[in-house]
Amino acid sequence: MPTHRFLKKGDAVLLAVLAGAALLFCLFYRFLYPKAIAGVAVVTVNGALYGEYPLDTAHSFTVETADGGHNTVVIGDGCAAITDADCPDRLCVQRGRIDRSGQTVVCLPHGVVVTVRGGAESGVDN
Amino acid sequence: MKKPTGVAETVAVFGVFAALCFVCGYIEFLLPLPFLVPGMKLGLANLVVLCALYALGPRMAAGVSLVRIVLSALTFGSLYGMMYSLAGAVLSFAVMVCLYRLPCFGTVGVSVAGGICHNIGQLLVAFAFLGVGGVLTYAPVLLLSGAVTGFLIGIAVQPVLPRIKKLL
Repeated sequence: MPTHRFLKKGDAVLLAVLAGAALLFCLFYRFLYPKAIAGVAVVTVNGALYGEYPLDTAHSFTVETADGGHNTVVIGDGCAAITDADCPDRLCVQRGRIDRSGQTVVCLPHGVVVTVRGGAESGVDN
Repeated sequence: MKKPTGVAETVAVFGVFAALCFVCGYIEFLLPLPFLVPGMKLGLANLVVLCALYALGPRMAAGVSLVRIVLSALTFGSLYGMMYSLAGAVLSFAVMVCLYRLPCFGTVGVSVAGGICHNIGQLLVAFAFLGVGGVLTYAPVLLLSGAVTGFLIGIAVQPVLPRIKKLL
């Protein structure tokens, strides 16, 4: 009868296999999957390109926006981040570091967007 | 357990299950899980499909699932959306029936496999429509959520099932 036992043997095996697969995937993703290879941080201000910076060379600069705001962008070690800003919510600073292709840091009040491009995709494709 | 005997009884029981399935889908439509990924669902409707599978057998359950999808698509969705649900449901149901026939699997295993395959089916359709790339980045999360919700539904079925069988 199907309902007499909470987990049948097959269920337990299936769950174990899935858990193993998930674990393997996580390990693979965490340790073996290369970070954005030769990725670049693309910085745009209000939609206009501000600059592109390779993620593997340390570089920091402050973006001054037209309305007098500033965002400090720090790049290096394969990551990019906005470390300081005078926007009201500072969500861009809280976003932390990004390192995978397609990730973005957005500062809506200042219209500043930092996107990681190139290198490895952040998913399992390719 | 007594399977429905006469035609009238079969139709009535089928109707009850289809309606239940439809309502569960509607509840889910009203209360989407507010986090993580678009497309992530609890799969309440699958609770009913699973009950139908165990209480009425694969053929009736397939009918229940199919009727629900067509009704849902006509009521709240679009034909485009129906392709997603249909792909998910067909794949998920096929796998669930296979596991259901194997005596070593219980409701939890069947439901987990169904939940995962439902999401695989939808991903495949999305993949076919939208091409490579973005879609597959959802894959890990959707598969995980399919497994988790499938697990929960598989557990939820267990206390429900004996009561349904008593009524039939």
